[in-house]
Amino acid sequence: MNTLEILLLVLAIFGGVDLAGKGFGLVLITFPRLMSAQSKLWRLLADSVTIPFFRRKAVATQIEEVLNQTAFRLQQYLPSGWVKRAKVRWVRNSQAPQLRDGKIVLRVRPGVNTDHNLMQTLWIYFRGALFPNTRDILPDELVSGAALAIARAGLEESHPYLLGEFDTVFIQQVAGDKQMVLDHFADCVRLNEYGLLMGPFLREIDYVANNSRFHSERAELPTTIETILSHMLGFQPFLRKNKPEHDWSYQGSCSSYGFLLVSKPPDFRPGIEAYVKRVQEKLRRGIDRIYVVGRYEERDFLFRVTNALLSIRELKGLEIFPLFRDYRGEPNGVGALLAVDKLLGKFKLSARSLESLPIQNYTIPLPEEIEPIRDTAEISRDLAKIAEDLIVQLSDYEGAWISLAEFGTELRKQISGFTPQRYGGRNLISVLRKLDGLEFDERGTGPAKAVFVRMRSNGQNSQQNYDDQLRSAHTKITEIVRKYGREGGWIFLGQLGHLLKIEFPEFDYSRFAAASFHEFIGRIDLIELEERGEGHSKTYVRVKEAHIADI
Amino acid sequence: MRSTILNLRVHLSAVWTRWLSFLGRFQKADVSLITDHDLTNLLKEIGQFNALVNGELRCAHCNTVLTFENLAGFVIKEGRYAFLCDAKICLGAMSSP
Repeated sequence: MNTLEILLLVLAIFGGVDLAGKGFGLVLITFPRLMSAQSKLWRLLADSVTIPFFRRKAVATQIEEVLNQTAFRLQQYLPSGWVKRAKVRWVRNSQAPQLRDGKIVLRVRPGVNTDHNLMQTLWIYFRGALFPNTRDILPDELVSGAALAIARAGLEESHPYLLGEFDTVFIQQVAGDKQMVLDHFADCVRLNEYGLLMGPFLREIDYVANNSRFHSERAELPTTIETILSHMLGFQPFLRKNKPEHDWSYQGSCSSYGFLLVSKPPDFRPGIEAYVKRVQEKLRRGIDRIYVVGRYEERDFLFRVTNALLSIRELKGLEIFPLFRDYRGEPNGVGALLAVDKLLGKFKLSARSLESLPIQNYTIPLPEEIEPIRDTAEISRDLAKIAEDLIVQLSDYEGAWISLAEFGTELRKQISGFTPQRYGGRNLISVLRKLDGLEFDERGTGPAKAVFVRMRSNGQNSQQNYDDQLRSAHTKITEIVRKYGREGGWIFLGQLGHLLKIEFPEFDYSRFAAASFHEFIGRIDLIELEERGEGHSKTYVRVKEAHIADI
Repeated sequence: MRSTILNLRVHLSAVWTRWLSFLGRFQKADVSLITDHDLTNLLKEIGQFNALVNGELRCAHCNTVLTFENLAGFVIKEGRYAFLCDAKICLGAMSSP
C-alpha cells in the first residue's frame, strides 16, 4: 500500500465517520427520543474520562435533549417556522463566532443546579422563538407570559419531574415583582387548557401585530391584545354556553376573527349546512378570519366542514393545525384557519353548491318489534347524544330556543320509528324531560301554547329549574285537589291523575325520582292521603286542613 | 368525485402543514452557553474582570450591581457587551428572536 492509498483510506474513513454522524443526526431529528440515549452516552464518557470536551458535550447534549424534545413536541401546534432545532454552542473566548450583535450568551454551571440550567435555557429558548417577526413591537410581558406557559406545557408532557421546581421557584424568579408577566402567564395557561393558546391566540396576536406595524393602531396594540385575550378567555367551557352569536367573533381595527366549534351531528348534510350558514353570517358582518376548531376524534368531520366552508367563494384555506387540547379541554384537537381573500372579498359572490357532499345518516339501531325498554338509562344516553347534536344543528347560535314541534319532526327523521312509548314516556316532552342536558320554555296558554327546548346552560341552572318544576307541580296538584275535592275536600287518586293529565299534560312523576304517582303525591307536605280499602285504587287525597286557609 | 377531490385537498393541506412543521427541525437555532472558567477568561480578555470584582458592572436591564454570583449572561448590543443579572426577566427581555 503506497502513501497515496493510505491517504485515500484515511480520507475515506473520515468521510465515512462524517457521513455516519450526519445520518445519526437525521435519525435524531426524526426520532427525538433517541437524544436521551445520546445524552446518556456522553454523560457516561464524561464520568469515565475526565476530559473537558466530554464534560461540555455531556452538558450540551443534556440541554439539547430537553430543549429539542420539548420543542419538537410543541412544534406541531405552533405556527410553522417558529420552532427550530436547538443547537448548543459553547463560547470559549471573546473571538468566538457566536458573539454576534443581539445574541445572548447564558452562563451555565454544570453540576451546581442542572435542573435550573435546563429550565432557564428552555425558557430563554421559547422566549426567543415566539413571534419571530413581530416580537419587537409586542409587549415583553405578554411574550414572557406566553413563553412561560408554553415552556410549562412542554415540561408537563416530556419532563414532568421538573414541574415542581418550575412552579414553585422558577416562575417566581421570572415573574417576581412583575405582576403583568404573572397575569399573562396565568391567562395563557388558562387558554392552553382548551387549546386556544398555541392555536388561535398566538396566530391572531402575530397577525394583529403584523398589521399594526405601520398603522396608527400600533400605539393601541397593548389594549387590542388585552381585548383579544379577554375575548378568547370567554371561550372557557364554563363560559361558552349560551354565548350570543355576536360574542363568537371579534372585530377590531386591525383584525377580525370568528370561532366555529364543530361537533359531529347525527346527519352530515344539515349539520354542515348549518355551519356554512353561520360562517356566511359572520362574513356578512365583516369578519375576515375564521378559526374552525374541533376534536381530534372528529377530524374527518372537521375536514368535511372545512371543505364545505370553502364553497364560500371569497373564503380561502390558510392552515390546518393540531391543537394542544380540544375545546372541551381533552388532549389533542384540530384547528383550521380560513380567511377572506382580499381581492375576492370585494365582490358580492354566491356560494358553490353543497350537493356533492356525502350524507351519512346516524341512527340508533332499534329492534323491528316494539319491545319493552329494558335499559332505559343506556337508551336515554343515546337519545341524549342525538338530541344534543340535533339542537346544535338546528340552533343559529349557542343557547338558541328551538320549537319542540320542529325538534320533534327532525328527531323522527333521525330515529326511524321513534315513538315516545318506546322511550318510556307518554309524549315527546315527557321523554325529553328525562334528559338532564335539556331545558324547556313554555310560552302562551291553551291552544296557543308552544314549547321550546335548548341545551341546559350549567349545573346551577339545572338545579334551579328542577326546583322550579317541582314547586310548580306541587302548586298545580294542590290547586286541582282544592278545586275538585268533594265531601271534606277528598278526591280519588285516580281522578286526580286523570285531571292532572288534562290540566298539566307535561307532568311526569318519574322526572322527580318517584316510582309511582302515589309515591310522588305522598311526598307533598300540603297533601294528606287516606287509604280506603286495599291497594292504591282506593286511595283518596285532600289538602291538609291546616293549609286550606293558606292556599 | 368532486367531493373526494375536495376531501383529498384538505387532507393534503393538513399533511403539508405537518411536513412544513417537521422541516423546521432542520433549521437550527443556536443556544450559546459559557462556563464559569471561560467566562472568567473572557472577562479578562475584554478588560471587564476587575470592574466585576470591584462592583462596577451593572445589569443592562434592571441596573442591579453585578457580582460573580448573580452574573447570568451577556448580550452584545451594537458591538458593546451588555451584562445581565440572574433575574429571569432580564435574560428574557434581552434574548433575541
